[in-house]
Amino acid sequence: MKKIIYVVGLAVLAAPFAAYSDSLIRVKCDDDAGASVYINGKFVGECPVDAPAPAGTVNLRVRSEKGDYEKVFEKQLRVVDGVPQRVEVTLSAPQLTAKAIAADAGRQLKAAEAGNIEAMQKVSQLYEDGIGLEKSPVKAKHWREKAETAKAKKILELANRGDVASMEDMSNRYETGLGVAKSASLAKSWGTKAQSARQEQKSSEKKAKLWAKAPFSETRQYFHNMGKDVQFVTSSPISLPFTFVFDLISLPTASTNMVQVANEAALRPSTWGNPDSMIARASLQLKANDPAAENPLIVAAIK
Amino acid sequence: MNRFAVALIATLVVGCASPGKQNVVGRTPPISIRGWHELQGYLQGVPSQLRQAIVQEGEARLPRTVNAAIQDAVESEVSQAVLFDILQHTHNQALLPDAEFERLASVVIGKSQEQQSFAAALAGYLTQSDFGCQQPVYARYFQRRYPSANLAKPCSADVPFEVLNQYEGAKIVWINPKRVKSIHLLFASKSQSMASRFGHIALRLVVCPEGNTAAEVCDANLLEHVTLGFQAHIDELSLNTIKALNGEYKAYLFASRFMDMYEQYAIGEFREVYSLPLRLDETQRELMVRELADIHWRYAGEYSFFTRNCATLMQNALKISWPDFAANEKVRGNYLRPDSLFEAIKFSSLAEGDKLASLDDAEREGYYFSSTRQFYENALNEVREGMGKPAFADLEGYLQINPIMRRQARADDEQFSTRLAADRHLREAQLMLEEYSILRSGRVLMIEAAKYFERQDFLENSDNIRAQLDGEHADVFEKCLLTPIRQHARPIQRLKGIPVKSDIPEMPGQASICKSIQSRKLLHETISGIKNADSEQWRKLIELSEYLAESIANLKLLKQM
Repeated sequence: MKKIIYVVGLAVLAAPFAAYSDSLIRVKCDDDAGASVYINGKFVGECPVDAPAPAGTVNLRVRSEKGDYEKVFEKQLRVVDGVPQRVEVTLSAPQLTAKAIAADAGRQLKAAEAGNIEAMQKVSQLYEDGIGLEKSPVKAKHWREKAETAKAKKILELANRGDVASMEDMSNRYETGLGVAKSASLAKSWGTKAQSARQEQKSSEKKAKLWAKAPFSETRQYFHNMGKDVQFVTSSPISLPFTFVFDLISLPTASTNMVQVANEAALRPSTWGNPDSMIARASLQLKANDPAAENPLIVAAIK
Repeated sequence: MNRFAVALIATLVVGCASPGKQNVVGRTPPISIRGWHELQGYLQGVPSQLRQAIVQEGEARLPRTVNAAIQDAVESEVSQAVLFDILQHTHNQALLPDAEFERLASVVIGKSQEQQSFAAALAGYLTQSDFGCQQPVYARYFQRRYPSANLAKPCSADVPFEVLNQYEGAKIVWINPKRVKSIHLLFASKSQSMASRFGHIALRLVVCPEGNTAAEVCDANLLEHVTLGFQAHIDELSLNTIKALNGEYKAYLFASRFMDMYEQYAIGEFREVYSLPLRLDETQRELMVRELADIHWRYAGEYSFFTRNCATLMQNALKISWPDFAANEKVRGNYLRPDSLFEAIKFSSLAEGDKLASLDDAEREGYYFSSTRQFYENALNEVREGMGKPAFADLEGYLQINPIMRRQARADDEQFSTRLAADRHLREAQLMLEEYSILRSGRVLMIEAAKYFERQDFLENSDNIRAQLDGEHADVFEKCLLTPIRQHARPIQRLKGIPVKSDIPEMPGQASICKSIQSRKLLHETISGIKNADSEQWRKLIELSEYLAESIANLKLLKQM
């Protein structure tokens, strides 16, 4: 019964347009009343609306806007002269308006120009897709490369600080030339460093697990008791040199120049704490005598 | 006390002299005629009174037959042997030791040793052209007692010292006295230990770098500065108070690197070190360096912590090697404490005491080295402030954290890591803490190792251990453990004076094969395989060595930043 009433209603409404070889489309928006309705790009009213439409193929577009976001419905309809149609509209999920997209692209561009790596990557994509910015494969490439260069710089810093994943990343980058000038020797060098650091990390993790079970209680105790015990040794020179004892006890590892370590360890406190002291001057002189040596003490002394 | 424990803490001073003994038996055998004739040549330049006394003694001893053994010897040796023979049998007062010689001998060779024969020394002085270079203290005495113009021979430019380095053992360091820009009296402030309750006193040779004698360059050349100080040779693992009071420990004039001494006192024990320049002209400095070298190679006396200690022995050495000191009224007292001796010299005309008037100025100019405690505490605070959640409150707390955990904590604290990479001052502070951990754990390792080696007594038990090893392990055990221990276990030897290069005994070293990773592994396996009551101590030592190795790894990582 309801269907009969609806068809009769449409027929009555369509009668006045019959003479123009047109028909009528009833657009209904259940959840988005008030959305603008366009037929072939022309605003025809707010949803719900009954709108005349020419026979043939027509484009129906319904749009609702709130702030920077809009919801859209688009459909192509086949209109038959004198035959009314009914369209139930369900709008899309909210999405940025073209204006907002352009504004966001502008902000990203500004951030990218300020050195933000994520923004660089986004701007590159925007140029690639022509979203918010005029499509430009050249500019897309420019920003992609710039982003990779900046990213490589950051990763290099991390690698220099001992981050193993970053060392591996740098090895790959030098191998492929991603963000850096391609270099087989640097790729190899970082690869070796990464491998050695990874091994060291594993060994340390293993030791840490062992030590976690027995948190070197004896060693802790030693540092509690230092003082009296140490005195008698320091008052009498020891014949067996430290390096002999240390080599004997420790498992073979990379050798360490203990004299150099001890010299630097002895010079550093006063160099750091009192750069005006004779000890600091000795540090400076040491560096001057061996300019090739990488001696961080010099910095503290100058400071 | 077993031999290995002795080896571990025995000093490395080497050399040997079997002192002559004055023979006063009634029968006097004849002397060689050829030797007597050759001796005449040596006596040409000798003061006439002395020559006459010798001739009188010699002629009375001429034999009817010639001693064949003496005939074969080289000329100077023949002459010296004949002269020695004459002198050791004489009763002529002019040819016998006097009180002054006795006093010198006690300072140069030590009373506890058999006294070197006056006869042997005088024979050497009259017949050996290099006697003045080898035994400058006695040579100067003879020069005073028997003045002569033509006996001195120019000495080689460099004087050797056996300088101890706690990390690498002893090394011979050759010092040209002309490179010694000044000599300072060093004083390390007191500590809680019995041995250092009144401080410690020594001398510091301010050695210029080769080819540069600019004062400021010499002063800052700290790595080459050498200290000379009398120390007890405590040949056991803990200080025996009774022995210390009874003078049962031996004393030697040890040479050390200044930086080792600085590390020991200013860092290891947080003591202050004062360095007082003595007023010496170039001639006096050279004389002092050569005569101290003489004592360094020859002296072995008793050490008693109250009556024959670093202060009293130093006074004696200064009295003979520095005439101004011997003559100065203000330092006439017998100073039993290092602090008293230091104060007396500081306020006398013998030293530039005013250099210590302002400690700030003194620290800048190298006359005062402050305790580093405050620097470490400041560094610790700076690092604590930089870290999000520091797990330590003080230096001891820092040392008690597993170095791997310390590394992990830094890596986990991204903000701190970033600051460490960017802020050199903070990074230096962090480096200081890791280096402190290395120095401290190194000391503990040596103490614990000494305890272990003493109990294991490898030399004593070597046969038992070797019996359980295969050929490869036994070979490494012998070459890389027992041999070095035997080398270091040699008793402290004394030479008959300042040696020339060819007279210096070979320093103990390790065979090159022992440095290979394979050898070290085999040796490690050998010791780890010994299962007895001390195996637990070995495990503790390995743990300590890992602590040290991980601290070094932390250091390397921080330096790479």
